[in-house]
Amino acid sequence: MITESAYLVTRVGLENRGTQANFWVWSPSTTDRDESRHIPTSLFLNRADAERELRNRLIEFLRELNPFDQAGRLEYRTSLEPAEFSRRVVGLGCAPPPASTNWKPMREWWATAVAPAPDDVLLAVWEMFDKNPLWTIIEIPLED
Amino acid sequence: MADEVRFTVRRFNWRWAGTCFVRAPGEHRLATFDTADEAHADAWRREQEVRGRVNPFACGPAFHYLSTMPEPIYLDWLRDADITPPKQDSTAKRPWAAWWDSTKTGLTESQIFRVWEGLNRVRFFDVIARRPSQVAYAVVRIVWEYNDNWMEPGEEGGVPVQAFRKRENAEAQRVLLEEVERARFAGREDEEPSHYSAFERNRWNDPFQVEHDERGFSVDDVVGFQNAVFYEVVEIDIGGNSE
Repeated sequence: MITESAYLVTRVGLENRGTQANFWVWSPSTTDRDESRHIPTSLFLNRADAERELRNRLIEFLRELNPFDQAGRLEYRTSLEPAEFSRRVVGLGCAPPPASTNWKPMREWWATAVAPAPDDVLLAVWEMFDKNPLWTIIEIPLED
Repeated sequence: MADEVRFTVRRFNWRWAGTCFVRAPGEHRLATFDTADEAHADAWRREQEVRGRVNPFACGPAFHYLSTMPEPIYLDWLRDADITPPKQDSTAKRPWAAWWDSTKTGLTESQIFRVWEGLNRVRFFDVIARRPSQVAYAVVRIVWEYNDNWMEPGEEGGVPVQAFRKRENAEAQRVLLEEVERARFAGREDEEPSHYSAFERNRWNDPFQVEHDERGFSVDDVVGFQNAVFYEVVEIDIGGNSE
């Protein structure tokens, strides 16, 4: 039996935490054993291809889903201080985020200032959301 | 068998969200056919079956989740088929779900089709084409978590442990791993499922058949270890055909 290494692109599982519709929050590392749940989506024999796929998936996902949908305050998404976050997004050419970090104004800001931005800007903003990995690559054995 | 294109029926990822259903990202692959006609026939049969028991207006928290048509256009869409839509209530909203419950039995088959046709965001199945060489199978460990009463699997996903090119090999590995997991409970076969030996399986049930209590929470379907899922096989694409 031949076993080779492959690279699995996975999406992090999403949990609906509330009783209101459209109440999506990511669910990374929330179990007793600090394990994230993943949904495998595609498999690659080399990491570079997997990373390209991951980038495309992330862009596609972020264009559809607003990370500030309910319960999505800024501090739940990033470990950056609001002022530092603002400085960096302005540096990327985006309109500054609102003074309030609550989900409603942040959601509006994302929809108007970030979601329509070029791919590189979208990804650069998302990279600041270090508390919320959405797509990951897992190295995994592949057999016949 | 040659590497000819095959056709797979997928179910979209609908879930209950407290007051209505919502469509989450992702799909579940259900069945594969040799021809597109067979696959589309199967998908349509499934679509019809779900339509027969689901209120389409309960498939989103607001009208724009249901259709790409703005609501005023949809009103005309219905009137053009001699269907009288609901009037606005005192909050200036239309009670679509209640209207459907009270109206559907009086509609003709073609009028019912018309209602669903206009709600073009409420779809439950589709068909994709793949060559056998373009798919692989991941064995995924379910991550169980104790909730102070029983074990919960989360709403989706797990930890991928291995991948296979052939489904039968992935299934064989899954069975092996399941046996190892169940062996932990040896000698407890006659016990009532309780706490760490009670496993919720709502996530594998038909989302449109899950019961809800008066607060909107799903009624939990809890089983013993004999019927719990510890590993599952997930069909995936090789090389980025996307789900």
